[in-house]
Formats: sequence, C-alpha cells, structure tokens
Amino acid sequence: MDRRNFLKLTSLAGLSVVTPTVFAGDRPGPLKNPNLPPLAETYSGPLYIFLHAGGGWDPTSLCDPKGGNGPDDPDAMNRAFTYSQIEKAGNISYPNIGTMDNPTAFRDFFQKHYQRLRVINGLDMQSNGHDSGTRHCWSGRLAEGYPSLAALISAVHGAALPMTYLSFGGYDFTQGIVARTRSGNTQALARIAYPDRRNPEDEATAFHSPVAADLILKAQEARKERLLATEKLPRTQNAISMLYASRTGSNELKKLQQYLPEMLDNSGNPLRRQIQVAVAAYRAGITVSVNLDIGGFDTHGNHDAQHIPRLAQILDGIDFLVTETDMHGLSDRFVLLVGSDFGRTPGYNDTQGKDHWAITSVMMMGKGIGGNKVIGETDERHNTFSVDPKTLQKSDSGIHIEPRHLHDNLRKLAGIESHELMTQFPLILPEADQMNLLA
Amino acid sequence: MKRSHPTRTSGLVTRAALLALTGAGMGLGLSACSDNSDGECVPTDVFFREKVWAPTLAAKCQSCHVSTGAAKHTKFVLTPSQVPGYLEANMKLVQDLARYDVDGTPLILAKPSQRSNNGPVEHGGGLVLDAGTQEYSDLAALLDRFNNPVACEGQVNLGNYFNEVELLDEVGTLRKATLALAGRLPTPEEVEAVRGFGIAELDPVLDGIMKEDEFIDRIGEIYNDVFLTDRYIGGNEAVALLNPEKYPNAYWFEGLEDDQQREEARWYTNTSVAREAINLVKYIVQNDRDYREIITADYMVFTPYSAIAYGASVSFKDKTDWTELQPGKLDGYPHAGVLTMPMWLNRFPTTPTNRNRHRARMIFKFFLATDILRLGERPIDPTSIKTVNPTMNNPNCTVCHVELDPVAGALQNFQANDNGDYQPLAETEQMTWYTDMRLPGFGDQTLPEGQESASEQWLAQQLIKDPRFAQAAVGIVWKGLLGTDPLGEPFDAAQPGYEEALKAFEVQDRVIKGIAKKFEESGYNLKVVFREIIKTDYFRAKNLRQDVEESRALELKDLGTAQYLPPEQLGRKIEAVTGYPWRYNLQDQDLLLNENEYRIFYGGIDSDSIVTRITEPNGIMANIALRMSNEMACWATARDFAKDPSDRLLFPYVETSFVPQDENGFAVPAVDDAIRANIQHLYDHVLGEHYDIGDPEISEAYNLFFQIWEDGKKGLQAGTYTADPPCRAENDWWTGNPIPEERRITQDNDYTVRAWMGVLAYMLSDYRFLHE
Repeated sequence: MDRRNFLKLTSLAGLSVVTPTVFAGDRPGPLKNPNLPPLAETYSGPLYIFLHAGGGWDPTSLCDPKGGNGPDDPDAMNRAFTYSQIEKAGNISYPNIGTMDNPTAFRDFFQKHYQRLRVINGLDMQSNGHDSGTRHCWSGRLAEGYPSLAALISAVHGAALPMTYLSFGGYDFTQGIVARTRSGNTQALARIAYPDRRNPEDEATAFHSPVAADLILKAQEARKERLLATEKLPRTQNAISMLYASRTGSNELKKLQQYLPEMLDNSGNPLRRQIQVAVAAYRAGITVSVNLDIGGFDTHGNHDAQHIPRLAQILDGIDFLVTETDMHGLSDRFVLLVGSDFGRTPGYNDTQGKDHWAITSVMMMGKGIGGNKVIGETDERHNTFSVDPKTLQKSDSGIHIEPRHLHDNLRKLAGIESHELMTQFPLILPEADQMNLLA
Repeated sequence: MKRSHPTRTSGLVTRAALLALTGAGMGLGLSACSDNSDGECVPTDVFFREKVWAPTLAAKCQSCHVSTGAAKHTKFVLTPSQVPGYLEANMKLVQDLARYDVDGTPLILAKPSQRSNNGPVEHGGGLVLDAGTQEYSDLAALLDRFNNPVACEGQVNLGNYFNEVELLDEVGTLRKATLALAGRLPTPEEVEAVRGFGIAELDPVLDGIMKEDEFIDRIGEIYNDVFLTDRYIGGNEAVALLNPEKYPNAYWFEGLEDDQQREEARWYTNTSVAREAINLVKYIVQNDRDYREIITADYMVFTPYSAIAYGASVSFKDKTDWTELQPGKLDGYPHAGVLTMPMWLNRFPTTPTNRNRHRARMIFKFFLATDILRLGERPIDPTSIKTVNPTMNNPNCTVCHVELDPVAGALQNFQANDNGDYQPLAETEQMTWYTDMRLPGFGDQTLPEGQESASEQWLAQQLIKDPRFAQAAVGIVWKGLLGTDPLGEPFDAAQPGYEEALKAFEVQDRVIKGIAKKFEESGYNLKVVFREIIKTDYFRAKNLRQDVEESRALELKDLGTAQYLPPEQLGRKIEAVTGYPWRYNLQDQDLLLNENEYRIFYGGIDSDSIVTRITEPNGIMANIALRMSNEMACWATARDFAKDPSDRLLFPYVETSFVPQDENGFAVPAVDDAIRANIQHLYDHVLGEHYDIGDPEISEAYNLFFQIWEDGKKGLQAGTYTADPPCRAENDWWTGNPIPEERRITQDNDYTVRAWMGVLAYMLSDYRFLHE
C-alpha cells in the first residue's frame, strides 16, 4: 500500500496518523485528521501490564541465579547466596533469599507462581545506557522514535478510552498515537469524573440545566467542525482533533469511581497502589495498558543490601497483582511483562556494587502465556548463549535473543501485528530470525 | 548513516535558496558568486553539507576518521552527526586542514586521492576519492570557497518555507507573548504601542514585560523543567542536604518560638535553598547580566533566608522579603555557577564508580545541547568487551567516554561525599584524579596544572567558548515558549518523509543559529532570545492561506500555535481572563498547581519521579478542563456582574436585566446589540479572536445565549426552574468585604446569569482557550 492510500485509510479509521520515525525525538507528525475516532466503548480485552524495574535489575539475583561460595568469595557472581541456595520451582531456578522481614520471600513467590511464570534469560539489550536500554526493552527498538508497546496496544484497542494508557513511569513515549494518562491523588477523581456537578456526590447540583448542558455540547461540536474547516496548519488540526477526541470517553471516568477501593494500599510498596488504580481503571473498562514503575535498581555500590529488597518488592507486587485480579475475577484477563533497562555486571566492583551489563532477563505471565518455562540461557558469568531461532536451543551458529524477538511475539499475542499502525513502527526481523518465545 | 541523494543534490540549487544565516566562524568578505545555477547563490555551509559532507566525508571518511576509528590519532577527526553543531565543527576542521599541502596539493585532497602534483601519496585508508570524480571536484571547490567567499555568505533568506503561512499580526503576537512571558493579557496601552507598527516594534513592549516579576518567575519555571531542583521543596528536603558541619545554621529556624513564624521561616529557607540554581538564572536575567554566568558566576545568589542557612554575609534591602535575591560568596569556595551548587550537584549525584560521569552528561545536555548517550546509540555487545579498562581502550565504550570522562574529571572537587560539598581532591585520601580515566579537561584541552582546586571554574570557561553553548540556551527558551524541543536532525534517509523532515530541520536550525548569534552579540542577554523567538514565524504561525499537498504539510508539521497549555500557564491564563484564580479559597493553592488536586492529572511534573510533561490531552485532562470551564464560568459570571460595569472584565456591555425579548416575545434591538457586542468582546478577550458584529461566530454564540435564556424563561414561568443561580456573589472574593447590596448576585430572575454562564463555559472549554 503506498503512503497516500495508507493515510486515507487511517483517516477513515479515525486514527491520528503520525509519521514520526523520521523525526528525531518524541514528536507527533500530524496530517489532516478531520474525523473523530468512534465514540468510546468500554474495553473487554486483557489488561496489558508492563512493569519496569528502573536502573537495570540483576537477573542473577532473581530468575537466572549464579551464586558463589559465600560473602567473602572474591569471584562470586552473587555473594548474597551460595550455590547450594539455588533452588528450582518446576523448571524455574531462583535463589532462596529474602529480606529481614521475609527471609523466604523469593522461595514463597516462585513456589506459588511458577506454573504461570515464563522466564526469558540471556536477553541481549545491546546497550548499557539507561535511556537506550529502557527504550529497547519497552519499544523493541534501540534507537529513538518508537512508541512503547503499551502505547501501540492502547492505540489499536482503545484509542478513544479516557485512560487507555495509564502510566506510572518507565518508557511511556507515545509518538502521538495515543493519549497517555498519569495518575495523581485519587481523592480528586470524584470531581474529575463529574465535571458537570458542583458537588460530585449530588446530581442535583449541576452547573447547567440539562437543556443548557446539551446546548453547550452541541455548540462545542459545531465549533469544532468550524475550526477544522478553517485551520489548515497540520499541528493545529491535530491538536483540535485530539482535544475533542479526548472528550468522547469522559463519561466513562464515572465508572472508575465505582471500582477504586476506598483506601489505597499503604504498605510502602509503591507497586501495590499502582496496581490497585490500574485494576480499577481496567474494571471500569477505560484502560487497556499500564506502565508500572519501581526504581532503585542502579546499584553501583552496596548491591546486595540495596538490590535484593527491591527485587522482593517486585515479587510482592506481582503476587499482589495476582491476588487482586483473582479477587476481582480477572485471573485470566491480564498479560504481565516485567523487565528492566539491562542487567548488572558479573562479580562486584570495589564498592560491593555491580555496574551495567547488556544481558538481562524478563518475566511474563498471563493470558496466552504458558508458565513453568525458561527460554534462553547464560553461562556462569552471565554471558548469553546464542540460540537457534526455531528450536530455541543453544547453538553456536545461532543468534542472541533480543527485544525485537520478544516484541514480535507480544504484538502477535496482543493481536496488533497486522494493524496498519505497525507499518510505521516495523520490527526489523527477517523470517529466518523469528522466534516463538511463547510456545 | 550513509546518505545517497542524487536527486537532492541536484535539487539543491533549483529549490529556493536556504541561505546561510550565521556565517559563523567564517568571517569572510564578499566576492562574486560561485557554484550557482539557475541564478541562485549557494552559501558555503549549504554547499558543504550537500556536496562535501554527505557524499564524501560521511559516506567515505567517517568510518575511520572519528575519535574511535582507525585514524583517531590523525589531525582529521570528524565530529559525529549526533553532536549539535557537527557541520560547523567539521567544516572548520576542513578549513583548518586546508592550510596544509603536499607538494602543492592540499593535504585533504592528496590523501584520499593518493596523489599530489609530484606523485603518489600514502593514505592508510587507501584510494577513497578518485581525482576525476565529482566528489573530488566538489571538495576542491570547497577549498576554493574558503579563499574566495561567495556573495551570499551571511545573508538571511529562508526561501519559500513560510510562503503559505499566515502569521499573527502585531496585536495577536503581543497577546500570545504577554501570556507566555507574564501570564497576563496586554494592556490597552501596550496594544496601541504595537498595532500597525510592524513586528519589530514589539521589542520595547516586550522589554517592558520582561521587567515584571511574573516574567522572572516564568524564568524559574522554565529552568526548573531543566534542573528539576524543585524536587527539594517541601519540609526540610533541601536544607537536609547541606553538610551540617560546614553549614551549622542550616536549621536556624528551629530556634524560633512562634509556631507560625517557625513554619514560615522553614518554608522560606528550604525553598530558597532548593531554588538556589534557579534563583541564579533569575538573578542573571532580572539584572540583564551575562547569561554565561550560569556556569561562570563566582558567586551564589541568596535570599535573606538561605543566606542565614549558609552563613553567608550578604546585604539585603529587606531582610523579611524572601524573594529578594542578592549575590554573595562562601569563603574559600570556588564558585562556578550551578556547577558548584549543592542542590544542582545533589540533583545529579555521583557515586564512587560513576565518578561524576552522570553530572558530566547533564552538563553536555543542558549547556551544550548534546546528548552524549546518542553518540553510543547503536547496537553494542558489551559482553564481548574483553579489553582492559574499556572506557579508555575499547571503541564500543570510548565513543562516549572520550567526551564524557575529561569533563567528569574537571568536577573532581565535588565527588567525595553525598552532600555536593566542595572538598579539593588534593586534600582527600585520593589526592589525584583516577589514573585509569582520561585526564580532566574538555575537548582537546587538558586541565592545566595548578588549577586543580578550581577545576570547575576552568571547565566553565571552556564550556562558554563552545559554539553550542549559545545554541543550548536558545533551545531551553525555545521549549519554554513553544512547548516543544527544537527539531533534531533526521537520521534515517530510508524512512518516508525524510526529505521533508530534513528541510524542516534545516530551516529551523538556521533560525535557531541566527538567534544564537544575536544572543552572543548582545553580550549573552537572555531576554534577546525571548524577543527573537517571539518574532519568529514559528511563534507567530497562525494558519495556512491555502490547502497544501501532503509533502508540504509534512514540511510544516511543526508549525502552529497549538501548545496544550501546561497547568501553570493555564492557571495564569484563567486568572488573567476571568479575573480570578481557579481555587476554592483565597489562601488555597491553585487547583492546577496542587499535587493533591489536578497538577499531576493535568500532565504537570513533580520534579522528582515525574519529570516530563504530558503535552496532549487524555480523558482525565479533558474532564479537568471541562470542570474548570464550568466552575470558572459559574464563579466568574456572578462575580463579574457584581462589579461596576467599568470594572468588569467579562460583561462590560450588558446587565443581568438585559433580556433579548420583552414580555410579549418581541426582540429588543438595543439589548440585542448589547448582547452581540458583549459576545464580540468575549471572543476578543477570552479567545483572542476578532470578529465583526455580523460574523457567523457571533451569531453562533448569540444563539447559544438565546436558547439557554429562552429555555430558562419558560422554566421559570412553569416553575420547573428556580431563580437561584448556581453561583452567587455577595462578598468580594479578594477582600471578603460585602458587596453593596444593589450589586450582589443572589437571584437570577431573568435567567440571564445562567445564559451568560453557558456562553462563558463554552468559551473557556474552547480549543483556543486551552491552547496557545
């Protein structure tokens, strides 16, 4: 399809067309888009959750454990646990470590969830820069210019939803294809959900009469049409369209109020609160994908003492997610991917820290993802092995597993791989290199 | 990335000329044109880019002649394209090398062609440029241009790029500028000072606006988006970062007995310390000082409160005015602007293994508009790095570290601990900089011996000499005013739309470089940058005069006054237009600025974990804007009608008793005229749109008013509506004093208050109000 027809097609589909990839940086590339997207309908597909461990997590302390001879072992990959402390839950290895409050945190988690968990080890991020690694992990592309996978999924499945892409941090560039939402103090949501009431709790306190409200709405619509007919600058046209498109799902925000818990979690793990808001938004039918974010993994010094508790928080967060979704009858209605900028260097530096290392791991669970599986492998010093793309077995003539392979699988899982939007953000992946990482 | 653009190259001179704007570094006189066709003169920097850089240097030389390439030890080391100003740097490099020759043949021609006038010449890279080729001829022509400049050097002409673009007139530009700079609407006097006099006449009016406190506060906002030091506002966050041994008075306010005084002093002190870097920028701009002092200042800027915390001896006009800024010095402290400020250093911390590299990266980013990480943005396989000390020796690493590490070393006196404290390296256990790192310095300059204890000051002096410094400042202000970063150069020639993107970049790049030059010539007065950006077509672009084809639309995609206002600017606009802030009580914080209310939801930042703004509306932001339009329309309508007509901002031409039809249903022409006149005024005042009284837009808004009123009238008669308006005005909101009874708005017996509320809500929710 040539570009002109592509643009016409997306225009008819009501998508805001972007040609951003030529333009360095996060820029929308508007062309004429006089058509609004369709009125928002509540979303019933799975909730796509992307949990970012900010700073570069250490898989050798988690799902790709190496161990050592103890805290004084100068050559140890991990001084926090010995070789004998490496256990298995099904096919998944983990170190039997934890925190002061919960010494068996890792064992508890893996033993409880291994059957739903899929691990990819030896993932080559091809970078040890925070920005590029994070971008590579969540967009599938090392260079700038691609939106996050979360944004792509939201754009395809729920562009008009009021909170289609909820972000608590991490790589959340959208390249203008979809609106991104941040969450603030949820106590303020009531007034936001009811912008037409002085008192959000009392429907008798409307600012305008129903007739006046309707007249204002019609006047706004008519004004929009007049503006679109006269404003010819592409950026202005796009901004007008986006403003009015953002209003189409605003009624759905009322549902969010119903599903938010009265009191959000106060346990100290920031992921729990993020998950509560995300699940509520999903249940309200207004969110398709969410970025969860927890930082503190860039442990160049005092690695074990600082890093392991953070990993425990991630495991706690995932456990909380499973519990919450089970409680709400959504056990099979989410897809979770947990990843990071990159990994951490083998051994320790002079300050008991670990530095940046391009090889890392991701963990996944959810709808369409079989558990109790480990794909990819690293050696005792966390160097990755090449794999045969078809068999996924170690092969000297094979290739490294890279984010593009993962994203190829996830796009297919999300059912967006053939969408026209992907032609703007293609994954460069010859057929011979394609891997089935979800088999 | 290799580019191959035969069509572009030939199209260079048939496309309307994009002539050199700066001629920076050339300093050439005029002579006859050369290398032109179709009568178009091609300036040397355009010629260099199109005919030498792309087909020859980038395509054939760059693989070896870079800092990590095989020829890295030669004199000919090219600057990569990820570095801003790379073209100018590389052209200068070629010009410098043009002085050398081999038996009468310029070295830069002899080497790649392996030929001189007298025979063969050795070249490590072999034959890369045959003497008979077009590329060779073009390179030779470039050398000739250095000695014989063309007539069009230094001229300003952006060709036909803005041909179809309709611009805001002087009044429209002034309105937009005043809102952007000071968060208010222009006064009638300011409007008349510019109306019809041409855009250049904005200068004195803009200068006047930039003397206001609100503009200085805006400077603080713009620079906090860069430095993010507002992270430390709140509680004792900033004060707690000060070394208690060096600054024993940091918590001086704890000694105040009165609770309210103590809390007030705590807040003023902590905020003053948190904002010390931003306050330096404000002080520089407010006093028309040289902007380079942002990193060269041999002083800090204090408020009366931070001076106490630091124990600094500073004189103030009013010691109770926490906003007063005065310079001062800390004893024995080698001040170098923000580079040596504890808050800035803490915001961008270091560790024993990081060794100031993070700070160095930020220095490149903020003051040289260079993202060091982009230099390394290509797939690498760090696990294959077996080299000893890879940051020194492995090309995968040195591509970034060769630039970064010397600057990191030049910050050597602020890396010993967590407080951002000054501790001369020579007085620490370490004593000297790491021997497994590059020598402290900048570029090809090494920190001179004897200057180690003040290396940061030396570094600052090198940074300001770099041509990127001025451009970086323009880039910061550009984003502050336009809401977007300057365009980056497109890098992927294979992508659709590349040509259009490149043209868009080239034009904007010239504009920005031109402003940078004026900035330098002004003595680095940052206000010049604001003025010049405001007068550009980028700021003033309003519409296109005609439809354009897709390719042209792509070129123009970044034009347009379509910035979705961030919370701070929208909040100021609301108050400027309605006369009231969007908050429930006088002592409250604005709802859009309050992190517990709408600030984060509306795309704002907290300078801590949320550091990038959302610039496009989502459903939450849309609802907040709708709520604002309803709430402000409700409050402001009642309050405005409660004022004397001569004091009203919104409804100067009507009264609540002005109904468009009498009791018998006949139109009242005088009232009709007044209503339309007021609507005309509202469009002008609220949206900056000017319509004749007969314009359809006026009629649309009139119809809205009329229909709401008509329905209201029927409802009142039928008893389905009451006469109680949703908002009343009985006391002056600002003072709390009762409004004279005859003017109070407590009843809406004619339903006109609610009809006007509807019209105002319609306008406050409009695209034009929410964007600038």
